[in-house]
Amino acid sequence: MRAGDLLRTALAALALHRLRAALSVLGIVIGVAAVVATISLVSGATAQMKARIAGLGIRTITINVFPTAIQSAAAARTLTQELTDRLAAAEHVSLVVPIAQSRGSVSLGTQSRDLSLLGVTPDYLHLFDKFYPLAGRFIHELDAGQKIAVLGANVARDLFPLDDPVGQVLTVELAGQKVPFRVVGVMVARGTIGNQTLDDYVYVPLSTLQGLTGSRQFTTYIAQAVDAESVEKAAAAIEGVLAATFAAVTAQAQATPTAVFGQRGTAAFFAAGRTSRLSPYSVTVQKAVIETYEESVRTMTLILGSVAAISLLVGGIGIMNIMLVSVVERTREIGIRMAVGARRRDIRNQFLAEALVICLLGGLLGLGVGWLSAWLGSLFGRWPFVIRGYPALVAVGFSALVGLGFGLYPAVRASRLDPVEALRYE
Amino acid sequence: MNPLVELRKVVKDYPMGATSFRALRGVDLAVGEGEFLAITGPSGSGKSTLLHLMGALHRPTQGQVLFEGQDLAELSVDELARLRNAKIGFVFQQFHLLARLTAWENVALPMVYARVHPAARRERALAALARVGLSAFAHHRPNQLSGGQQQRVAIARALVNNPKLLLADEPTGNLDTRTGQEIVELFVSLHGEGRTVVIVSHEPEIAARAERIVILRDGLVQEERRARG
Repeated sequence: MRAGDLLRTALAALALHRLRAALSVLGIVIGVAAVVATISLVSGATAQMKARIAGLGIRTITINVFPTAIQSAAAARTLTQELTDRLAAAEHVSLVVPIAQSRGSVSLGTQSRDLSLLGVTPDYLHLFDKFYPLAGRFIHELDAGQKIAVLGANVARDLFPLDDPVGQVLTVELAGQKVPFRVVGVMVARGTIGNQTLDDYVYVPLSTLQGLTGSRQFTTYIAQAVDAESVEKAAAAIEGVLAATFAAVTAQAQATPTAVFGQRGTAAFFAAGRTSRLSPYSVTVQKAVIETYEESVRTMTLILGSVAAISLLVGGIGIMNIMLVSVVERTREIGIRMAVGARRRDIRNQFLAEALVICLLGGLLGLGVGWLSAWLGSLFGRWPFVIRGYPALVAVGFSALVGLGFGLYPAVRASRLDPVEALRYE
Repeated sequence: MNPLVELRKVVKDYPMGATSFRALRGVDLAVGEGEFLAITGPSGSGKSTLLHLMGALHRPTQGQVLFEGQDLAELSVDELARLRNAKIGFVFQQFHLLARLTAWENVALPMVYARVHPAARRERALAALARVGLSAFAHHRPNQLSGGQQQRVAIARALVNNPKLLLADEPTGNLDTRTGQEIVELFVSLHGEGRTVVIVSHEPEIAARAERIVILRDGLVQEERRARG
């Protein structure tokens, strides 16, 4: 039997029972759509999370020092400087940048905007690729303690839609004080990670921010290891430095059983959140977070994928069922075809072709439905819509496999019929 | 005449649960090339079984069936299918047409399995339909045709691959007497064109149109006689 005859015969047979064929196709559509949507949604969510986590790079080690460890504004400034120097001197560490963050507002005339003020040092610029001042300059060593500000792209656009912001004076409202700041630069737009924009910041010198907010300032240090391989060693060295620096506080805290120290990765990350009153610091390795996250995503993909695959399996069983019914109904037809010269494989291929057509049709439609629901899901969850080639291949290939797998038994059964008995079948 | 089909001591059992039913109990029969043979006998005498064995639809339990001297036992299931496709045309009592196909598509069915190019099929199918006098009904479906017309479509289908042997199992059994007569005359004229024809029928008038009549009883050849001469 020619391939064209096979296809024509299969389509004609399916056209004879349109509703039945449509329902069989639907079973596969649901299964394939579930698989495709799952893979696509998880890929999108993963891409977003990874971008967020990896925004600072895989070499990044985040150190949080909690306000309890710091006694006064002056102490905070001293500590920040000393700690930065000590951490930077630790083995395998190439760069340490202290960052303080405060909510505040910025106003110009009648215009006002709530935003985050980032207290940074000049090295902040080196943490990121493609991050540079579009106009003016970034914060300089000599700016320490000065009331100068560098604007994120959105802030500059909103407050100075027409004028050049550089040289203008803004009023910054922070911790109950209104302080004039002179704008010295505007940064290039960094875009967004997920739904978080990175252009709504106003950058000020760290020492200036610490002076305004006082001692209860949560400070983050971002350290970079010399390379991706030495992240663990760098983190260990950093912990050594921190343990020595906070020896007194650590000793106190260690007396309480819930305190968590020296752990790295997510454990410390989450533990720090729970026990921040007791822990003076936490060290988070970006790489470990990413790995842990990837691990959990793999598990999630596997679980969701299995559930989706089961629905595809159910669709396949539906096809097998319908094909078995079809074989019984068409017993006489099989006998007739055999009598006029159909070989076993011609009969087998005829029924296989029907199952394949159902499955491939279901596979292609399912791919469309799956992508559509993944796209809707990505709008809803505000993560990037990721289309990958492999889920498409997997979906179509898998549905073809389902067709062959579940169509084979009925088809072989049909091909094994005895022509005379088949002809006598009522 | 060289035998086209030859049966030697053919026994055929059908399984019936734990036991089996012996339909043929040692039949020797040869059908010569170009012969018109009628097989007759009462119900259950083994007529259809004999025809199915001649047509390579069944294998004997014992004995040999030779087609053009070739022992069918030596052929695989697929080779038997090819033999049926190329050299044998079947006509059945119930016509056995595919309901969803038109007359010409039904006639073209054997060509599908002969891998005839699709473009050539239509012409050959229409020629076969013309031979049985049904040119005007090529695009009718079986349910739009009378019993006699349906049987003519079935005969056209049996003829379309130009087989050596034409086998008909009670071809008039579902037709009224007059239509049945027309169908028999069609077989007579096909035989006149040089085809080997074997008809199974329990109606003496039908059998009488053949050259030779074989009467079966209880799975054995009871009598053989010449008919038209």
